[in-house]
Amino acid sequence: MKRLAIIASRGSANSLVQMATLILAAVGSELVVRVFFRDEAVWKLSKAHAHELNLSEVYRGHESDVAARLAAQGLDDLPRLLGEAREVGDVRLYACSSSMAICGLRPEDLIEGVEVRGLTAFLLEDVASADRVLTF
Amino acid sequence: MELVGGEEPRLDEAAVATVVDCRGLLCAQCILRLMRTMLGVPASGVVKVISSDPAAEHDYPAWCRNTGNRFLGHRHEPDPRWGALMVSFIRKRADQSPS
Repeated sequence: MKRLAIIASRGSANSLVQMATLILAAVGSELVVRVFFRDEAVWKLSKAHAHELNLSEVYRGHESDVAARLAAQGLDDLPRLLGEAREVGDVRLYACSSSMAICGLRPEDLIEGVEVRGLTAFLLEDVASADRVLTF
Repeated sequence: MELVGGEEPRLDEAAVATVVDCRGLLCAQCILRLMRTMLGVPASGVVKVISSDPAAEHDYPAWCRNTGNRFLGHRHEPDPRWGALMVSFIRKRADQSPS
C-alpha cells in the first residue's frame, strides 16, 4: 500500500478541515496515512480547542457565511472528520511532544485517537517510509 | 446505454448490482461513500454512482486506477435540482469478496 506522511503546522480550522478531507480521500483510496501535528496545530487536537471554528484572517468579515457552508457540508467538526478517517482506514494521528509542552498540553488533554510522538521517530520511521510527504 | 471515458462504451444497466447516491456530497465524501459501499459488493459486481460534484468525472477513474477496480465509464444526466448529474459505472475488482 502507498503511504502518505502529513505534517500539519497551521492551526486554523479551515486549513485543518481541508487536511482532514484530504485524509478522507486518501484512506478512501486505500492509502496509509500518518499525520504529525506540530506547533499551533496541536491546539486543535485538544478537547478544549478541537471544536473551535477559528478561521484564517483571510475569512475575516465572512466568518458566519463560511461557518454555515462548512456546516452544510458536514465539515465543521474536525474531531468527527479525523475519527471517521481512523474508522475507515489505516490512519494514525500524532501530536508533537515538544509542541505539546510549549502549548501546555498533557496527553489527557488530547481528543480520542491521538498519540504523542517525537519528531525524531516521525522523521526516521513515518517520513522515511512514506511515498509522499505533504505539509499543511 | 452508452458511456464515455471508461473501458466499456456500452453497458446494459441491468448489470448494475448496487447504486450509490452521492448527490449533494463533495470531494472526499463521495469517495468514502463509494468505498464503504464497495465493501459489500460481490467481486466483479457493477456499481452505479450518481454524483452532483463535477470533480467526480476525474475522481472516480483515478480512484479505480489506484484501487484495482475498473472504471467502465460515465454519462451526464440533466437534473432539475443539481443542474447536471454525473452517472458513473464501476466494476469491482474480481479478487475482492464482500467483507
